[in-house]
Amino acid sequence: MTLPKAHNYDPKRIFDLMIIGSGMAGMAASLFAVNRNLSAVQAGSAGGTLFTSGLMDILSVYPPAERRVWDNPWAALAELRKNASQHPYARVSDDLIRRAFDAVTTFCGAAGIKFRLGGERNLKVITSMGTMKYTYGVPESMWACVEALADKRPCLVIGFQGLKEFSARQVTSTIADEWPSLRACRVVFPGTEGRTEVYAVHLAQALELASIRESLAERIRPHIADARAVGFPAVLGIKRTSVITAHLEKLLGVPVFEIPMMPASVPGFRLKELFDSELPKRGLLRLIDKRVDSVSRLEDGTFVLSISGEDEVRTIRARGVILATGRFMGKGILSDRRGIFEPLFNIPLHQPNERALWHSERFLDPRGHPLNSAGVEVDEFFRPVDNKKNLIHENLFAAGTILAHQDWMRMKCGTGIAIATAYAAVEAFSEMFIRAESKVVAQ
Amino acid sequence: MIDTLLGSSFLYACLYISLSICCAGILFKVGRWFIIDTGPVSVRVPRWKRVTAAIRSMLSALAGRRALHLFRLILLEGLLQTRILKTSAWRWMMHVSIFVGFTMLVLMHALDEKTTKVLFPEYYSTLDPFQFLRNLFGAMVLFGVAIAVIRRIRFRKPIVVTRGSDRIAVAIVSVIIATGFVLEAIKLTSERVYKRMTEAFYSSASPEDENALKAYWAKEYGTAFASWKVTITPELLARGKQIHEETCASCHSSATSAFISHPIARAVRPFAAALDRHGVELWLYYLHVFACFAALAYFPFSKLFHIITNPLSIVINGMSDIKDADTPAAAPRRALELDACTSCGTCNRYCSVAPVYRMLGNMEILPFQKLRNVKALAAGKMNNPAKLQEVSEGAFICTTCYRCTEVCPAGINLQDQWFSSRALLAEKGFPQPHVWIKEKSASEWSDRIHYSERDAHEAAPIKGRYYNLTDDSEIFAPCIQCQTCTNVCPVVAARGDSRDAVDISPQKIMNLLRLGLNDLAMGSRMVWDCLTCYQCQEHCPQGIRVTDIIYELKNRAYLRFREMDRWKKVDEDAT
Repeated sequence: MTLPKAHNYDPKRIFDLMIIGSGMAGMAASLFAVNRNLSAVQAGSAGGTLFTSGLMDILSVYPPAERRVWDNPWAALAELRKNASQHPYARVSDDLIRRAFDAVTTFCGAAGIKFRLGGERNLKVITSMGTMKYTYGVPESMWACVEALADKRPCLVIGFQGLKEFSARQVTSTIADEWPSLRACRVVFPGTEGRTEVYAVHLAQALELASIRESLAERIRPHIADARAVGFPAVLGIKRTSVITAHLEKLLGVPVFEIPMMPASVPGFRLKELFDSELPKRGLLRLIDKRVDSVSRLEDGTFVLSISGEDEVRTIRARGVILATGRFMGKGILSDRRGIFEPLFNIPLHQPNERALWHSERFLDPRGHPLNSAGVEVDEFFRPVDNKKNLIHENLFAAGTILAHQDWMRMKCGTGIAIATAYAAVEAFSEMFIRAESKVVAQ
Repeated sequence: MIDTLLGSSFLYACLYISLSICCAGILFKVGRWFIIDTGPVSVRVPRWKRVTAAIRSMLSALAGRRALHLFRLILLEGLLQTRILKTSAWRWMMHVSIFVGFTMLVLMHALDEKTTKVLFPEYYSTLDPFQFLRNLFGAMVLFGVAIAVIRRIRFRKPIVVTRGSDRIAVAIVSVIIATGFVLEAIKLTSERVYKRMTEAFYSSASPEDENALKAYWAKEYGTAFASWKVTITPELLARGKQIHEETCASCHSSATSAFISHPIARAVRPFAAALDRHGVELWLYYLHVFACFAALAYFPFSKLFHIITNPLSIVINGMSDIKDADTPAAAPRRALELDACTSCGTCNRYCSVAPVYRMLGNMEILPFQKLRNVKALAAGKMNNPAKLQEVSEGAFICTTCYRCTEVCPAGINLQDQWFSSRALLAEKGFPQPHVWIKEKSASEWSDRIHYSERDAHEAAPIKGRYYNLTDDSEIFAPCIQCQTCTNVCPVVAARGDSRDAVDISPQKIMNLLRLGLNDLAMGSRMVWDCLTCYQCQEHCPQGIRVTDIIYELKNRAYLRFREMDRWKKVDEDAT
């Protein structure tokens, strides 16, 4: 199982694993596959990881109908399993989740984005909306916020003129009851004088320059006063966030942290850049912005996937497929007048019986909407099954938010599901098709 | 009568007249190279500086290793014409046939007294190999001309446009060669010529011998003797051959080596007596000679002048850096290049934006048409605003991709011509579209669209094949306004100054499309400043063809704004 550094496209080549989808689950599955030395190919849109906030949730709210927030994600998981939930987490162990998180954060850390995990606890951070959020892992650049918030230290939140998606005043006034010593301040970002609109990525790019950081610090310093940390919108650089944060801390004399923003935001951009650039180095054939159009299956079970580009149709052969195409945003699930469907393999979905039952009567119903728990049902190895629990294909796996029986947005478990189920699916594929094969060879 | 006119002072007078017209014409043409300038008025160089610059660069070409390069250019691209071979073997064959055939005919045949006779003292035009070679070269020219004619019939507008000058050039060459062949054939059949020759070189001992020689010539050369009735016997022919060898063979090779004229002679033999009677041989001779004189006089003003201008253009451009062509010597070079263009159409065949011609139907997009415009502009012959607008459109659709320069058989630096003439057009008030479009804001344009098309039932459908991304909601509906496109856009990032900041960022354009407000996006800075770097499209997490959409908007905007703004403005100017 040797992997060439750079794959040349060869239609006759049979890959071990094809991962369809380029969101968090697709990226994680690709990482786990190359970590296991599988020959892997990945296709999908430009990258759903762009929409991540940079935070890594495991599970913060359960059951969602009660809006019960958990300080300890593992306790929440135990509760979930105790209730015999069909949630994907019910099929994975705590140990597997820890291993999966470990693999992802080790990979990110080695590539320059260090994460801090909560260990036995969830971490608490503030968001650009001024809300409080429980999460399991935060990038190093947001850590100072966790510490400052825990002690309610006096801090300063900086906003930039023209950055429409972030208002320091909004943050501080929303959270004022819980964190009264948080102050807001708006400054003009160096070089954007007179502009009515500025954009986060441009600010992040500008901050890669030391001179911009110096002149920004110059503008902030008069406002620090008693603040023991300074919070920024998450724009502190794209490639060298740790260097930029350290430099700003030195210039300002206090710890500096980033506040996660609405998608698509710079931390998501960083993750996307990281996956895009690092995974191919490890041997992944990444087909960026290429969607799989159709699939056929040979008699020996090999999948033949056709991928259309601007002017050519490629086919990829793979011994196994991990479907990580997401739900509606990722176009892993589509809808029409009769119901929702999975367009690629036409997997029967768990869904409400009729359209009228898709949504609850109230938009903000805490129980969510039945459609939010629709999706692909799987067996214990994360292989899709139909409504009678019959396996669709023995070498087809599913991972991520396409899975049924979870409402990740309300339960705050999106990243966890993506990473853990991707890990479980890759492990299952590897056990069934790769290790089994080596056993046969050994005998 | 014949003898008195051949080589007469009348013919010499005609020759010198046409020769002096030719020389004066060449001087006039060369002089013009230093007078006209196709570039913008603001940066024109004084004429004496152009002369000195040209001389300086000519001298520098002879120095050191550059001379070697010069020699290579002359040999390969000049004589062997490898530039033509690069794009078409047929054209190369055509060109080499005409060039070699005609040049050799001029040297060996027309100037035989000055060249061939000097090199080969035993030269007679009717002796082999000269007789054979003359036929061969003539055949080469006709072969080349035939390819040229077929090519002109096969490739028509817009690739090749055949004009009067092309027809005249082909006609003159064809007349010279055709009359030459027929003249040679008639001379063979003519009894009068036979008589003239025998009177001069053969004094017969007996009528028997006379008949024998006549019999031999009638058989071998096809000479037609009127009212001459002799039974031809083998003995008579044998005697005739003997006399021929003694008297004529030193100047006359066998007629079969005249492989074109001889068959013609056989064909016209039945009419030989009539032709003789009317002195056709003489008239053909005059036609042949005067066609040559006419060609000589017409030479500097005709397409044939490219024999001089093309090698010059090839050498000058081959010796200089075509990407940095703006020197004081540029103006004379550009003027020379205008004379070097033979309208062969090679540039049109390779033009990157030639397909746009099919969409817009504007001939001024095509390179060789553009070069004519450059000429007309420089000569100040182009003042009609409507025409100038069309020319401006053609000039600015060009992407200056260098393909035309790469393939031009005359080695013309076409890019430099485009750059300089564009600047001149801008000076004349016909700048690039994005310049005049930015005179108004996106909302002003939108209002103008509203008012100007208010009375029309709907915008006219666009003819021909056209993408339709901006009207297809499937294309942009998936947009979730995440701003990624705007965030990665280098144009948005580069516009620091609020006065020229991007007004409607890419994600806002997508939103306008969703609201059906395409008109509002069309005149925006974003659309007209877009570099088509495809960053937005590559980063779009929803897979929307952002760049393609912006590009299409720009094209659609141009079609409408041109009609509203330029054409109307032009009409106002005209009235």
